[in-house]
Amino acid sequence: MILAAKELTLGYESEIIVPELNLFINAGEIVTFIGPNGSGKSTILKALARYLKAKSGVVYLNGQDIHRMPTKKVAQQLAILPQTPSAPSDLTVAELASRGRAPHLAWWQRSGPEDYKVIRWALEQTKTTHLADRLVGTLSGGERQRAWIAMALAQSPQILLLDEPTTYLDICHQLEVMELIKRLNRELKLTVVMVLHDINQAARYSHRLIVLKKGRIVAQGPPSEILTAQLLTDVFKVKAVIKSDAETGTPICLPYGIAE
Amino acid sequence: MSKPDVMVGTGSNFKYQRQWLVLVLTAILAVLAVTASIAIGPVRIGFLRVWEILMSDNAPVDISYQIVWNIRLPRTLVGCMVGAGLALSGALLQGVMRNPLADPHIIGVSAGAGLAAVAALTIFPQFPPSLIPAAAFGGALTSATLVYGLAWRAGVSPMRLILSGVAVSSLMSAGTSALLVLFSENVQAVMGWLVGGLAGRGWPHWAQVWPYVTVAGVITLFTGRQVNLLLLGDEMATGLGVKVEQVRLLLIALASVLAAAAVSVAGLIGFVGLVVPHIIRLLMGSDYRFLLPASALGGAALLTLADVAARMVMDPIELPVGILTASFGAPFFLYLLRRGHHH
Repeated sequence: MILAAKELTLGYESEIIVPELNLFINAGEIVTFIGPNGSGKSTILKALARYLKAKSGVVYLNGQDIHRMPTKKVAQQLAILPQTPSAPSDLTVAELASRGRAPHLAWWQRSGPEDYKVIRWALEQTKTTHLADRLVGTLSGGERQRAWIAMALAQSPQILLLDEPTTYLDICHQLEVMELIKRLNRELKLTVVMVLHDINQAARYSHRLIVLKKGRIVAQGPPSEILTAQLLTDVFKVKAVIKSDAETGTPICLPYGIAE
Repeated sequence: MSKPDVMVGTGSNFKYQRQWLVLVLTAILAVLAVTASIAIGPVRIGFLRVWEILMSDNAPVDISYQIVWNIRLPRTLVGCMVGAGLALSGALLQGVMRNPLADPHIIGVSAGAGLAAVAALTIFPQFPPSLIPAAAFGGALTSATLVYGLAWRAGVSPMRLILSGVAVSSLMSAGTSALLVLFSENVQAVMGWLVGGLAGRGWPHWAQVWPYVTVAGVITLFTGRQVNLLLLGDEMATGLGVKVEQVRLLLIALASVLAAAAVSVAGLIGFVGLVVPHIIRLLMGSDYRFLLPASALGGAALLTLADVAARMVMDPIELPVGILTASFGAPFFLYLLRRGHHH
């Protein structure tokens, strides 16, 4: 168990969005949250990233309360990629990636040869080496997402949290990003926790799905075991047939109507 | 300064060289501005003679020597501190708010300083003039604290900070206007202070301004990397191990002290805090490790040069330097903005 939430209650002001959530993430897993809008997916991800403080309950990173650890220590183990990160218009890809080294540097330290080695490695892993001197703002959507993942990799984390990494991308770039995440998981044993809107993509690329409705987990497990027509009706209020992909064996859902 | 990120890339990127170039040029400009400011006036003193008087232990104590040491040097140094303080403050706030239009006025510093100074000048006519800067400084910091406190709600978002700043500033300005109407016999002295300028500033003002600007300025120069991370957004900065709220409070506090010290001795000089960081950013990019020192030097240079112009253009009448910074700064700023759009 590399990351866990215990009796986590989340919300804003007086409104409770996620009541007493318990969950765990194993090292090396790809876990994806799915659920309708307002089900608390992004809220939970923000809490796991320690960006959102819980009303009560604890997030454990490698067994330690994440809010009691020095935040830089957390950043050395856990990287996050928000849904719409912003960058100054004159920032280059190499500079962006170099920002990922910040958690490893004390305030008086400069980046050293070791850091540059990691940055180069992160660019290679995300196939952005040839873009190193390009401005982040001038990249295509897919390239930009890879550049941000390069920055996250430069943190040399064990866990990567991604909030809807494929939103706003065309289908080819979506697959490119998902394939990259899959490869990083397999080759680097990177644990991945993400929020996805596309159920089929989630099913295809995740070891485990966590299905949310109104802040509660209604189902979790390997996609082929939990994705049923009944679940889709209960959670998303759609009628759908579930097929099995001939190539990969993962379930595919084909919605055909709205459930009353 | 870190080694070039360029080493990682393969192509040609001259950003790093350009950052250093701009930094060196602003430093040279600042030295030239200081020299010109000391040399130029009713009594002309040669540029070399200026440095001889400043550096040499056995320079003759003549009229030039008196003018340099007693009048022009303190005024010039005060100008440098004011310019550097305003520019650094503006650069910090633009970074913290992630808003290129932020400047020292936005956190209520100017309005607070104005109200305190005007209150001292009008309600308490026997208030010792030498304590006006201290009153203005106190008013500025009080106002900034009020803005920050009102914006606080389980954290401070840049948007709430801006709104809170606008509200507090309007309130303070209304108070200032009310005092001006009620005590119209003192308007002359008050207007002189409100318009802002360096006329008659000497060693006492220097003593009032340099400790704050130096201490806050030096700390500020070490915050570049943190600001760089904040520019990626609060959530990303948190992910990279920045204590966002604490860092933001520190940066706003530094910006407040820098601006408060500046307006307390020079009055409400506008535009420098907004335009200098902007010009520097257009010239060298937004890496705050370079932007901060270059803004400090650029602010010192710009205000000093503007003061030289303020003394010369309508000689023998001296214009308030704030009018100069606005009338030269605004067109130049617009020119850079239009040019900047093309790449």
